Amino acid sequence: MASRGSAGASVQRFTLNERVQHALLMASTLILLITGFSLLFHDVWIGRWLLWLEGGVEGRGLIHRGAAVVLMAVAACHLVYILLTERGHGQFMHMRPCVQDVRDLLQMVRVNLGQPVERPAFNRYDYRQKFQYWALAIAGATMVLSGLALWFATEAMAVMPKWMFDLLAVLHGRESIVIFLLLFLWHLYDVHLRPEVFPMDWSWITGRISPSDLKARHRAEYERLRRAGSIDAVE
Amino acid sequence: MMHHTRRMAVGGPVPARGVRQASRAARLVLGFGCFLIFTLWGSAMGAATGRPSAQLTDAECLRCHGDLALTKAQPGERARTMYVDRAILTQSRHAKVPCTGCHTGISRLPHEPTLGRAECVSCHQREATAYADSIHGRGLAKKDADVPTCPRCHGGHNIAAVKEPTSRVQPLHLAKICMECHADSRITARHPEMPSVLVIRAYGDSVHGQAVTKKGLSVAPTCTGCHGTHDLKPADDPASPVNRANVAETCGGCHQGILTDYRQSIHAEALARGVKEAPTCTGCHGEHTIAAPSDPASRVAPRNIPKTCGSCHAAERIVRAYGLATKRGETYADSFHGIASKFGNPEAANCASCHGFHDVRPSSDPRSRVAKANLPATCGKCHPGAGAMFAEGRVHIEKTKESAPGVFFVRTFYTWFIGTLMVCFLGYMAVEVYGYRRRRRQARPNRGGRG
Repeated sequence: MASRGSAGASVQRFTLNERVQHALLMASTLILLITGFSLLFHDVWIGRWLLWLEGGVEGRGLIHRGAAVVLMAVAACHLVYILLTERGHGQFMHMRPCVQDVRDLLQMVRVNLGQPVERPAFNRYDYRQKFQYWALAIAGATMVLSGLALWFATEAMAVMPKWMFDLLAVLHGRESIVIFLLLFLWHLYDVHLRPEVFPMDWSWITGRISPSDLKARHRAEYERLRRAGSIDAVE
Repeated sequence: MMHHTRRMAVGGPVPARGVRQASRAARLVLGFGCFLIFTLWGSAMGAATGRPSAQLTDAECLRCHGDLALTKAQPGERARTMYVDRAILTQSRHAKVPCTGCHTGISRLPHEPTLGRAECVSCHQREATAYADSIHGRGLAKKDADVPTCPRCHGGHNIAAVKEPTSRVQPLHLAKICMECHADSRITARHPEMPSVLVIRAYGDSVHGQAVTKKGLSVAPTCTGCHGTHDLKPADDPASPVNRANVAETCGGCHQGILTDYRQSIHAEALARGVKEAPTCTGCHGEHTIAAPSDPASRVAPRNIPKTCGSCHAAERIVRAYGLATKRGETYADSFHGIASKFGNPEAANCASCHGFHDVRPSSDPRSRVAKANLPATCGKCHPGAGAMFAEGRVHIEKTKESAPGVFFVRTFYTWFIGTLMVCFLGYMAVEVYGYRRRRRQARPNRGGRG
């Protein structure tokens, strides 16, 4: 088991640009969830209380759409980042899902269940992180598209039947619950409660990871960096 | 009528004396004839109503009643003044009516200690007939002492024409006169059949009451405007203007255009068919509490409309009895319109915005605003883009497999998806935590020998 904070210069894992993207994504999504849930749960006390806090339906809508603009802007920046910058493109290539991820997952389950198998050598992003990224990307795209139709209701009505509009409204609400689970049940566990990182994986703030943690969690990447001479070997 | 007759009787010979061209004999015969006819007629009429044939002048009455000190005391009562202020009488509508015009039955002076009630019927026959058949008149017939008689409302010696500003029953202050009894809890306590004082008092704050008191509109309805005047009857009397069957006509007396619209509505149709729950004007607007739609407290204020319509359309008993569409209230409340309206956006569509109000028709009726063909226009009032395309799909229905397959599918999908997702997440976490604990135990094999 790797010990955190062991000797050796830490390695940069996330650039400032990436950390700002994450922070903005987190802030806008949180606001979107809170203002969205106040509408979704308008008939119970928590929804009523949130609505009151947000200045009624009007204020709520304003905040929600404001946060949506931030989210869409971050998404647009992210697209530019992965398409037009070398670093961004590299990160995206690491993020591509592959069959190895499924094998890694199954192997990891066997490790945890105590079968005599080797722990998989994860690359820069392991299957959990790829799942997190792609699940949120797909859910986010769904929310942005259905949200835009609901935002520009009058324009949307000109081109879509009522049942489609109703469907998008329901979709927008249910998908928000999926995102809530993805973030609060899965992501918060993944970066806070998981025994390996408890109480928190600090890299989202510091942008850095210790070589020993890198070796423990992303052994393939560690080996690659070590071979390239970027880092020293650790025990 | 009576007193004119009497005057003519006295004045009988006068015109005879003025005829200069006729012969003395002719004049005498004519004069005597006239005198005889008028006198006999006068006596006959006088006798018929029990009046003294002898003329009593006001001066004779005032000989006693002009005295400030004149009082009368019934045993066990405080002395009441019997003084009559001549000045009040001469300014009244009845200035030219002699005392005996109302105070009948005086055969000698000094008269009997108690005279009957001052009498109005001999001149105001129509009103008296109507009154006799009113709830007040019926009470009087039963010797109910709380019931108002003519002077209780109109005043006595100070009586003024209804339109005079000084009249007690002038529209601007009539309500106060009615409330003297109807808002008096001692009287209502004696008469449990009378409406609650609170109901009566509510009128003062209503749009009608305010129009009278604040805006000084004498045409705004005061009590009698809706309930009738001399012929006033309780609402459960079919002849009452505020009986359910007559309310629309009564309100339509002023609100004519609205009555025309209302007559087109399914509500009016049902009312005519005898559906006892079908709303007439007051069903939605309230009665004494009626307020303008712009008043947030009004039952027909935009925010309160869903509740007002829902009081029937979400009432299970009524919905079931008349086969009305179900879950209309809930599905509206859960829609964007419903939520926005509930949380204070007065512009958000409420029931009336789409269905119309006075002329509301079911969607199956081609005249209805929510008939399929009219939906683009109706939705288009707020959403100018909504075209024929948008009308494909039903509005605030219970979303079932049959009525809204798309929404039903999305809901079902997410129910399973979210459930599966949770199971997967929790299962994975459990496996990971199990593995971690297992490895930790193996790393420290000497500790306590557990597991």
